Amino acid sequence: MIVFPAAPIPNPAAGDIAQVRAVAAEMEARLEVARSLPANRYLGQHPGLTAHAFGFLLILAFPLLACAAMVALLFTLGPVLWILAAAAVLTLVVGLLLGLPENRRFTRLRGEGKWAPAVWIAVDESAFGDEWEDLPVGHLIFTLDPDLGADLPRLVALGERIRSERRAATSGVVQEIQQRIDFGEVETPPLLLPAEWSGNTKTWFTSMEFAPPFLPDALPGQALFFVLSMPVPTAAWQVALLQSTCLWGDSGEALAYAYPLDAAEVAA
Amino acid sequence: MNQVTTAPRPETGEVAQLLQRLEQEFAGMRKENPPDGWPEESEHVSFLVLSLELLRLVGVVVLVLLGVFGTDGTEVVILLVALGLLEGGYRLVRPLDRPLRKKLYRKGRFLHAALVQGNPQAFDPELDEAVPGTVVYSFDAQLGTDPEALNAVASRLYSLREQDRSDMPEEVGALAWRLYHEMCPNPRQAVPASLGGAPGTWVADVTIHPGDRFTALGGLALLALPAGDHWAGTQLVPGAFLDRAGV
Repeated sequence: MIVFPAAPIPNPAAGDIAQVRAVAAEMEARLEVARSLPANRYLGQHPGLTAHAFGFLLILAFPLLACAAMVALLFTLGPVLWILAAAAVLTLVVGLLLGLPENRRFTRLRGEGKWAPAVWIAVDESAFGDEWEDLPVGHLIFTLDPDLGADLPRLVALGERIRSERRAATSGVVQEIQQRIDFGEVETPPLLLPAEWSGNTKTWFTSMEFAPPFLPDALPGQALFFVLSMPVPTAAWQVALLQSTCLWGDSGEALAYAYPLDAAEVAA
Repeated sequence: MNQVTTAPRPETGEVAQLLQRLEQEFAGMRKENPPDGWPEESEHVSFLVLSLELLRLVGVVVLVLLGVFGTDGTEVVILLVALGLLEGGYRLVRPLDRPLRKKLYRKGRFLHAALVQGNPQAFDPELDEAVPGTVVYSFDAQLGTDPEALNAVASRLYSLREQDRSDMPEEVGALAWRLYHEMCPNPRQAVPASLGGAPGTWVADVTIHPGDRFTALGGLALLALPAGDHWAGTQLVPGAFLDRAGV
């Protein structure tokens, strides 16, 4: 059975909680569509065989060794044949096993991840230019709380507060955030924001590398955007940007465009 | 996506003739995969799939050589076991649409289709990359060869895009949602009678490649399998093949 949202929302008002909830439902439905379609289309490139560099080298060696084993069969049934055959099987099995954790992470997040609105806190300046050698790092807050997630002005205001306070580093949490921004950390688990700030226990700060050319036009020139997150993210890999505009839809983009962001405000 | 409309209003008999010309031209190409001049539309083929295909080939060559040089049979048994394992592995990792494409070229029927919606760049002579589109077509003898009726179904479908889906019957709502979200390729969906669909009338996603074009009658030509709902069971006939068939 195909679950589809009730009606298109042509120009949702970012401050209208009911309309934002409807857009959220539409984006969740878009996620379900993306999950049902062939891989590699909308939820990012599946790491596949290249998930582990050494593992991939082993997999590259597999056809060579297997070919050599088959040719050896023409000449001998001795140890050379069995060593080549065993090496071929081993390279393939070990190569696939090495890439397994990364592939499982990818599949799990894409399969079980939840839609979440997010706000930029800081972004490497290179993200705003046309040329970059390394992937820029973006620092953001996101929420899985349905009430804060629908109250976008409050979420954006929370982002503004952290942006304005981070350089002063007045509290422990802000100090921690500033430290992560300074060091460009992308492997550290998401940091739960204090409930007195967010009003819930489902709002986190995290950092990630991202590729600006693959993002919707609105990024990173807008404060608001959307991520995919595990229900309780405990590791950096458990949060990923929703990059494809098809997952945002026109109504999702309209929400993002409601909160323009000056590059200077988020320079890391 | 925009709806792309086509101007001419051909007669039913003209469509049947055009499809017959395509069938005749394609007759000798049915065993090719993909046929000469047709784009490869399979999903990403991994290194592992290519490796296993190569190994299968090498295995057969070695098998032949073993036969030529003569053996006591042990080598042949070992090789056959290895080839069996490779075949099992190949079936596990090969893209699912590959065998279906092969079947499409062998058994698919040429049909007239109407474009429901397409990327704004679709059919632009300047187009330099493949773009998606959605078409409607019918295996029904009457509707399938009546371009005007098929265009009317396409227009009805396109008008569903922006409508409120809450009061729609489920099959109509699913079609409206599919056209609205624009993500593809979806499985093809039957067009209900309430939208003008006869039995065997389908909405399907296709890939429009550079050089693809409408036929001389102003519609689209495609190759489709009558059964199954997998997206790979439908493919747009490339412009180069239409040129070759003179349609």
